[in-house]
Amino acid sequence: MGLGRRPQQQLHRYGDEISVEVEAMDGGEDLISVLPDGVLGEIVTRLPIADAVRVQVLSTRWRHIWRSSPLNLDLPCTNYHYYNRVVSSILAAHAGPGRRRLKLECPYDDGEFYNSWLQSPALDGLQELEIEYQYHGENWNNRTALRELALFQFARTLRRLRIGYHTFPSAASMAALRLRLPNLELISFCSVDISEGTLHGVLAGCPALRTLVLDGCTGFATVRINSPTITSFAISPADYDSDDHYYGNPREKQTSWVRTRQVIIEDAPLLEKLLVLPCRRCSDTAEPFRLVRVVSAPRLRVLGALSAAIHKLEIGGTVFEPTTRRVNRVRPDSVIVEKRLLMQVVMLATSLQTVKILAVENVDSSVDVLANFLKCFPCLEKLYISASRGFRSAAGYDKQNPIECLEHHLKMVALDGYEGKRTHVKFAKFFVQNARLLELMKFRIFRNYHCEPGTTKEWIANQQRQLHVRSMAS
Amino acid sequence: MASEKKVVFLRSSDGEAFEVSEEVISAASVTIKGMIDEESPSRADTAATTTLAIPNVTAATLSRVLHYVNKHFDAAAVVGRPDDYIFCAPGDEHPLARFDDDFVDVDNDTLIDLVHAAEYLHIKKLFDLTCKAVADKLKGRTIDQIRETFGIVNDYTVEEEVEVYRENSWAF
Repeated sequence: MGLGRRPQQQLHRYGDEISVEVEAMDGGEDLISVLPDGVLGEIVTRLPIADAVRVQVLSTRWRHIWRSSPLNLDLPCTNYHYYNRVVSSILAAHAGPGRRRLKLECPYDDGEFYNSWLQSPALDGLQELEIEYQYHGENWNNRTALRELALFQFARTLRRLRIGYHTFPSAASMAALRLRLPNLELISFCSVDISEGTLHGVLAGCPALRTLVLDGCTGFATVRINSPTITSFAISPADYDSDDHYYGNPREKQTSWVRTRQVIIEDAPLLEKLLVLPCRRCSDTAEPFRLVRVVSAPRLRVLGALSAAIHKLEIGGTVFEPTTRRVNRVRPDSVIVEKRLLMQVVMLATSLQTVKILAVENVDSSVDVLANFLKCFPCLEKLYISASRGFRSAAGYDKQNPIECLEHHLKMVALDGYEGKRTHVKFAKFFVQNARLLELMKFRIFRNYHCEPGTTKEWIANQQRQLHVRSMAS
Repeated sequence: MASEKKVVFLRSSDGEAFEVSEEVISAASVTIKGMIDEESPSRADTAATTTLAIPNVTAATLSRVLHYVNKHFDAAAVVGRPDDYIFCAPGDEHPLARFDDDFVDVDNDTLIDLVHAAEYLHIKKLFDLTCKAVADKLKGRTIDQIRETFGIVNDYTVEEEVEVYRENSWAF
């Protein structure tokens, strides 16, 4: 409807496309082909590479669109030789500039392909680079050396850099390059081995950095964040013992990876999100961080996963430290005495008023421990609790000594691993009864939780009754 | 007088006028911000409200665009920030994600009108959203399905078409 007039205006603005558009309009309906080249290019660049290449066949109008659109190369690697051939032919066919994104999944072997790829004119001005060595059975080696070329070739234009399963070039070669990444906004390293000097050198060369993710990385004992621009920082500990064990690579066994001990946020005036996450793969073999210290982060809003992955957490003058507690665990056939790590506030100096969202993971989730946490975060609005060991409710809540966030701010609580047992109900009820502004409570039930088929509705109704949800609805 | 919230009127190609907060539309649309900045010296001494002509956008599309703009750019209405949610809870999403999904769940003609409008008005977020939505309609489809959906006429000669297939054989 009302389309007769628009092509006229388009013809005016994009004079060079006149013949094509008039032809397209003969059909009277083909609106998409009327879009100017630049816009079609922006659509095509959002397609997976095979789809983007294929649309050339639609009509002559589409013939040159992909070649002049920002290249977005994200071919999944299924067969090594095939992959090399196709990536080479894509880079040869595309006119460039790349501008957008290059994702390489298995970039190695002889290095010849790789070097010629990176120097291809199709990648001029590349903004996003992802290099990951995919797992390929026995050839898997998580320590492929990253070639410096990848970094300095696109240093001026890169905005996002993601690297997985590589060793970073040494500090000496990086210093020689004097790497500066003036536009880089995001760094995401997963299982990357990078020395402390190199890491801090790279960070110092990123004046626009906003997001930093160090997921299971090694090579640095301490990471210090000093950045006037960073807003989000996430880190998780490495877990390499188990990899050595599983994959038995003799070369790896000789090396002992430097694990991260300390995470220090020295000065991060814009930092809003700090996430110190437990190891994704295997939280039991990963060594926890000995110290996470926040010296200055005046805008911290989201604090993620207070967990056993942190031995000591200091924020300003407030100190969280785990203590061990003996717990009798009653099994049908025996009683097991377990030692549990328990994060506790040992010193409460400043209350963390800026924090609005808090996640607590795999700690002993009992009401008294939690109440202790909540006192430190008077303005908390959202609380996420994940408990693989279940929820317990030991002590009650002393109403004479109210917790500020429960009285005035807490609106949402999410419980992960809820099973509806009596102790779980009690735990959940604590929030239903005491958080005065509570609007929403989310329960996530583990997939392997045993629930009779067809009884889900009844289960939910039963839980609602136990939690007195209805009476709270007023 | 100065503290009053300023509004501007936008007149669509088919002559309908829409009222919108000047602050909100300036934050959203680079094109309209430019128009307002050009107008402003002459506006200073008159209390009259400005009406801007948007000759490339119909009333139907403009009202949709303004609905989007008011949701996304009115600071008072925006609930949370998109990246609050990334790590804390995988199941949670940006509060406006649902709105965005519904917003682009429209027929092809309407969607392409929105792409045009977003491009002309230079509203980057809306342009990204609508281009992505069009791309989703192309993704994983066969060439014949795409031609049919969008009414694209194949004007290749047989030889030419074979040539294009041959050059890009790996993608088929």
